[in-house]
Amino acid sequence: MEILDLTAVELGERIRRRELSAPEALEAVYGAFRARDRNWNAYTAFEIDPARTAAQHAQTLLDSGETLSPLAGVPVGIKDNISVRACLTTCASRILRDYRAPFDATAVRKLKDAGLVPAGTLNMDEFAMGSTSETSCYGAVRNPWNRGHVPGGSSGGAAAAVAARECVCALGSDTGGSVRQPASYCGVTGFKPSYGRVSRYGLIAYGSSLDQIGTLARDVRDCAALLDVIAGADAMDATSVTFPDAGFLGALSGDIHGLRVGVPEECFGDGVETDVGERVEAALDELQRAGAELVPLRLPFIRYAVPVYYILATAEASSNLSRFDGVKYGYRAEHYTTMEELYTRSRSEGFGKEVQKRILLGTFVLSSGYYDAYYNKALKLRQTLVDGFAEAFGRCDVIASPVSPTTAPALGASLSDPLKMYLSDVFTVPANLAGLPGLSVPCGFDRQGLPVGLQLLGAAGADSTVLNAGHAYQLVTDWHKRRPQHSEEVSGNV
Amino acid sequence: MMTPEGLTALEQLNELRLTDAERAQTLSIFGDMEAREAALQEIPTDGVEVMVHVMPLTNVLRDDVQKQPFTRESLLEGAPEHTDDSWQVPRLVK
Repeated sequence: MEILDLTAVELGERIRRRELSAPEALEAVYGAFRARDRNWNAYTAFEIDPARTAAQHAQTLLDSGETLSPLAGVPVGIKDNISVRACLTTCASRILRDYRAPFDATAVRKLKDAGLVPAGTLNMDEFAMGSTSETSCYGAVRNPWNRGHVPGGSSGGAAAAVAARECVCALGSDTGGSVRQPASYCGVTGFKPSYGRVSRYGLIAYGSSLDQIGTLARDVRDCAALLDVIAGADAMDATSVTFPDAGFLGALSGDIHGLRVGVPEECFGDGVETDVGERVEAALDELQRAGAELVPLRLPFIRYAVPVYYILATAEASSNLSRFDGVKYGYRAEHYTTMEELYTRSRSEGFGKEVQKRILLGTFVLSSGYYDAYYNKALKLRQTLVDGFAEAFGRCDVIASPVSPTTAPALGASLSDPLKMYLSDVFTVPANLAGLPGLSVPCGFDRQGLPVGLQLLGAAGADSTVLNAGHAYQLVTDWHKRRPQHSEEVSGNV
Repeated sequence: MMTPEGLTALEQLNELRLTDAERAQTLSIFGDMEAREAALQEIPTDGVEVMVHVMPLTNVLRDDVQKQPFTRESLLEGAPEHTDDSWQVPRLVK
């Protein structure tokens, strides 16, 4: 079996047994990037020298008998909005195009401490604002299952790289579904932990009360093993939390007898593509055969989750992105005479149009006269949504739904109809608003051959329950083992 | 309702400058978004508290210990223009 066909856990096992070395694993990933990434545009940069240093360091630690993570020596792709010291961290934006982070994000530091190897930065929607990975200043990412379709977003590069076997596993970020939705569109497994589970220190902020670093990988076991490494409270992030449970990989029993799976009627029917609905319903049947009990649910508050999300996310973004001004780091306009011109030209030339639009919208909902009507109203509705989920989790242990109402749209289709793009987040944004853990697992294909994803949500802190439910599903299905034919075949001028 | 004048004020607040075409497109998008968000007003929230934080946490401040996480040089390295010890900007006072 080729190195890049192994899961991260399998690769870590081979490295631990000395059947492979950490530098060999890195060179396999780097070779795939060089040979094939022009097909997908999944990476924004692959700085091989620091990666080789990290791989050699990991190998030295392994050779000295140091007890490290089961994933020691495994290369990990990093989304381009998570800081890696001395490496380009650009948020796929012109305004940060030459920015090198002066420090490691806590999640990256934990990876390095555990002997994992940050390897390449992954393409994304600019500042994570999008659902298609088309707003990157490096150009659109392509879906490895069909190059004419988007990979989803905003962690589209991470999902595409894992699907195309250019990457073993990756860190992404999820503000409104940005790990789960691209995982679904690309047929890989994606996990957004509970809010606070992973430190956000070093994650360049979009919507701080919603952002969470997550994992993309071949299967649930890999996501759990990565979470074991990066989870935990951090003094550098006052919103991070130590939850009582730990040991996510070890907790994957695959036993879901008696697990109550809530099935909300709002997530099936109108607006959901027929193929998607059928595949997810078939997945529910599998869960039931594995011992779970299906519980019909109503979640009427889901209908206002998208407008609430876009009020709160843009409001937070307008504040977070005010720091980019062309003075301290990043892009500065060439032509200016006054300070005012420096700011305005740098920001207008540096930010892409989707980002500018969201900044303006966010400032609008925070402005005098509209603050109560929009921002405060959205915060109250967010509370009702949290209360609604709390009530629902009194009746079930996980909630199942499609990740997205559709499979991956064609390139360009969403940018020409942004409102439709926003509405496609309907099943993913509620987890961010309520701080819940959410998992996306592949559950089949539509008639065009594009992947469909099953979403499993849990109560805040119940990450293990969600991961175990997804693991149980993957024990009795093989959708997560399918790979796009194109990942090897496409070459030449594209 | 967002007006062209209101949008210009938002641009100034955010140090952004749209072209006329972008302005027209943005106004149209604002119209669509406002219509959706106006529907939220019909959902009753009487007696609901404004959410402050999704996790019911009380922050405990860590000890106030002075540290120097970054050197001046490392931070100036990323600046578009700088002197030996400062960021460089156009003259503010003539």
